[in-house]
Amino acid sequence: MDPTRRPAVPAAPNGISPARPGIAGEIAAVALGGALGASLRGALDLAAHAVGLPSEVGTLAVNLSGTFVLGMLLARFGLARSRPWVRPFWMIGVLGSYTTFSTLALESRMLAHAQGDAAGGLLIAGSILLGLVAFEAGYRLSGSLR
Amino acid sequence: MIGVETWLAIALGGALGAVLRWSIDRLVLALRRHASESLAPINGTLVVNVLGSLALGWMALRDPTASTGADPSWLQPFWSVGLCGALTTFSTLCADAAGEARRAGATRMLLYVALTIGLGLVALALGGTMAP
Repeated sequence: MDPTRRPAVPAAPNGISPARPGIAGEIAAVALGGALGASLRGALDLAAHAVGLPSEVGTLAVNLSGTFVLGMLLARFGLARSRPWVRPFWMIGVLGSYTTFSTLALESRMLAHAQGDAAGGLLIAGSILLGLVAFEAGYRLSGSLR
Repeated sequence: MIGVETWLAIALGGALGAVLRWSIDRLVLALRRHASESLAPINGTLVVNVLGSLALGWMALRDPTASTGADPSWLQPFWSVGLCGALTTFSTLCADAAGEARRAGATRMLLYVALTIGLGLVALALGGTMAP
């Protein structure tokens, strides 16, 4: 075995590493991550508003950045048992809460009322299309960095 | 500047929304084990995105004159950014769509995305018509 290559996860003293979160631990990780993710989005919304960006641009930036990072994390860790906290805390908690679909739907509806249905449809469908690109970009970049 | 109360409202709403999304996802997963393959495009992410849009529509689109009084200042950030923002998700929607494209092809991916957009917008509008 290559001695320079350390195992990704240090072995627990009992050899059965690492500890899987119990149901309570998983809920706590999701809740804590959710609180953090929502706060982060609140802060960025505020910052976008302060520099005069339209709210749609702020939402798009949040959604695309969060989706890019989720792609990276999924490529790096997948649903691996070796990092049992990555999924509940980072993927479900932080990134799930940081990104939003409901605000995107609301902003698309507002835009449709102000600028016509085509503009609203373009915002929601275009956002998801760009989201797919961001996800694939994160997924591939992370995979190629390994 | 916004106050500590607003931040707490957002964080608390975010924690609640995320746990609700996690619970609904598990519930839908359990239900799907007993359901037929025809339910395949309906997953937990779709359900939370539709429910969250309904809830946001109720807050953002309801008739303001029908309100019985002024909302407390924490309600809007708690509900809109915190709860609905965290209950619904864009990142998992894209991950699910990408997975759907890999597993079942582009048509199924488009069906999933179209269902999410269509049902989400209908739920949003429906939420706005709900009293009070």
